[in-house]
Amino acid sequence: MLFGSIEFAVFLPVVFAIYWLLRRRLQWQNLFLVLASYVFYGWWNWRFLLLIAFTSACSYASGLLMQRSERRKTALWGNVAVNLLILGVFKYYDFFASELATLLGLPAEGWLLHLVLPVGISFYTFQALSYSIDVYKGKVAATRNVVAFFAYVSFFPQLVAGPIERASSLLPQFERGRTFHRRMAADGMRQMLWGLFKKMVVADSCAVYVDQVFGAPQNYGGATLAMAAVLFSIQIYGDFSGYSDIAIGCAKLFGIRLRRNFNVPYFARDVAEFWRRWHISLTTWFRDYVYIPMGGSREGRWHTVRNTFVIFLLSGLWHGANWTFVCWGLYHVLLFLPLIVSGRNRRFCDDASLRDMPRMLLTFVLATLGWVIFRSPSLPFAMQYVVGMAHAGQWLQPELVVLPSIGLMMVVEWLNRRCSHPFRRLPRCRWVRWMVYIFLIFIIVAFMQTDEMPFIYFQF
Amino acid sequence: MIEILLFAAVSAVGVALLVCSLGGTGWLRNVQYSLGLGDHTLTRSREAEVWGPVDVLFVGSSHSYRTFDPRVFERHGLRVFNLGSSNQTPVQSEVLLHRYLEKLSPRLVVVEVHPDIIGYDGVESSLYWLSNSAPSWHNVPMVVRSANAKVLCTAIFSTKKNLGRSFRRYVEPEVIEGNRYVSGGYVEREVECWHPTPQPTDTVHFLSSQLHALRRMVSTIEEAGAECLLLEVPDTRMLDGALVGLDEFRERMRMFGDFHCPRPPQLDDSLHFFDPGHLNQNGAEIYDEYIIDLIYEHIGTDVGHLARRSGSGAVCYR
Repeated sequence: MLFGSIEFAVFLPVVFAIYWLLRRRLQWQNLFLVLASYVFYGWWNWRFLLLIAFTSACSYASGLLMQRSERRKTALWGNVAVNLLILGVFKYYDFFASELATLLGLPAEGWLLHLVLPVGISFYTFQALSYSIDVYKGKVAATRNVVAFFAYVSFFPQLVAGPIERASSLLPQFERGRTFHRRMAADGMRQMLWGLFKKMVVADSCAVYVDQVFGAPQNYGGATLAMAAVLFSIQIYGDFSGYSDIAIGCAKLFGIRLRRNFNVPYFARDVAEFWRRWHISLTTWFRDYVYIPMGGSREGRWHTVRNTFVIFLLSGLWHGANWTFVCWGLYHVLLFLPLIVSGRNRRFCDDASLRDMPRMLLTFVLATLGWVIFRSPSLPFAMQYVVGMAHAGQWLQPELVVLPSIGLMMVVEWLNRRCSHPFRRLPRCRWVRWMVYIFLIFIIVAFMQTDEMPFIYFQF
Repeated sequence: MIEILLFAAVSAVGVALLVCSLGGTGWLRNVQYSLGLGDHTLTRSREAEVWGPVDVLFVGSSHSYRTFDPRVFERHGLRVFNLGSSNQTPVQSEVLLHRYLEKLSPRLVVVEVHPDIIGYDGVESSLYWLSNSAPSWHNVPMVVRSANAKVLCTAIFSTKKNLGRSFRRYVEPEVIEGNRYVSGGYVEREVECWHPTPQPTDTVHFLSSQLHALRRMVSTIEEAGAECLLLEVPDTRMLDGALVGLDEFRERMRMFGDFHCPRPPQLDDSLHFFDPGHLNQNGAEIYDEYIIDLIYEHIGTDVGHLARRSGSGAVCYR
């Protein structure tokens, strides 16, 4: 079920109404939320429900075992192993098996499982893992409330593409009663509206051009390839941050606060700042559960470099089983390391101003080159694409709506870059606010792509 | 709650006003107003309003309006009309039946079904009908069932546009790009040389919304007291051979009613088609002559409107 679909437009109000009707019975409310989340997730393929239920059950049991028994470490590593095994089999097995077979000069076909990748498996697996690790470290107490825990793992707004939540912030919200706040719900709806605009107008419009050019880059000249690379940067931002806005806004309708996942990353002035602003929930996950346990930056420069290298490599691999993702991670680590070595990785922690435009543009260009690797089906393809940018050839005009919609998104986000989302602060006058909403609804209805376009991050 | 309802009403009106005011600029991607396009849908819709009772009504896609030539049926004393449009699916056909069934009061409705069409969303056809027919409440279900922003925006804009004088005054040329309109909803294609080429393999897809619409359509026809016949018009053998799931399609169609897929033995891919899926004029005439007995089987031995009018079994209407 996609956020922009008719099914979701029916699903959400129904779930919202029943959910708040059950507000006096917390356990029933949570149970209903789990049920609704499973319906939402099972819409893709009901068989995936078995997997998410198994992941939830394992993590819940490991939490209780850690709390009650002496074998805390065994319970933790047991759960980590089970979760990573599931993730590995579904997401990485075929890739590594075929690479190994190629290396040994054997036919790969007999080794492959051809399993369908369950939607959002990386997201909920990481969320479940964070619970186990936090319980082990004593940051959070193991919950006995099985319904609340299942709701924590499967909460439908953020189930398939994040933000990846922590047990310490999300689980307590399911364990205590929630009250309906009109302002919070209205703010959530505003954020959802902005997210829908970013996804359905900006990202999907870019996608048409990007798919055409990346589908046959040899047919186009350098200017077109460069334009497609830029538009892919915008597409992936609009798509993923749009999803996050819808998810966070949707959660607010249910009285749940989710963490911010994007903080205007294309206004970053260097790559270090970019990574503090892009997919925040994943980068902080790797920071907290991989980088810091490995020693972080406390054990000298060499260890810092090694640890940074590892988390970027893992971050690349997290996105998918392909060398392009690994190289994308390596590309970013190469941009990042000079900043770490020179101790300038925390140079930009304040708000950017227009004077920083050249730095922002440079960072955007560097990020865009990285996205070319990310978007390419293979490394030779990426190389040819980058080389092709230097050659003349046919120009493909983007659709009329593309550039104005990107301009609108960027200007609005720039003007509201200090807010948690651009519609956070609007004029108090109701009619002015309504005019803004109506204009945005009109833009969405009049310019949205009518072909179904799933979110890019669903595949991860 | 009242505020939400008020906002919903205000925003619906606001969006509609913006679409109406800016729809004509050509900037809005989802306003696809196409007056005069779509293989004479405008002339067909105008004719359907005044055509009067018929013996046989054909509904379906381009296979319908490019196959069932009213002149052939006239020779057999039958008055017919084609309510088809490009890529028209059961969702649109159902709406058109509700709009025109009473006016045309057919004795037999032939629903043209095609393995390609049953998997389409029918947006193209909706856009043609909305742009080329007078505004009507009957269009509302078409918009709702399409659940598509393009159909919605075009419906809003064409409602405003087609209430105006420019729509009423617009006259469609009789021949557009080699396609000649023939009274009765038919479109005749000039016979030209065409060489069939191997077709890529394709699989028949079934959209449940189309199957539901087909079922409702059959019920509507029966409730109106007319006979219903489901007919699959032939494609080239090359196209048939490239379709996976054709047998399943035919099996499923039989579950909806009296389904037939007659194919005259003399039909030849290169002589009687102008593309992989459409008969040319020679092919259409051969096919129509071939199915005439089947049609008479369904409307009984009783003679048709034209024959009754002249008192003979076969007359020329004009």
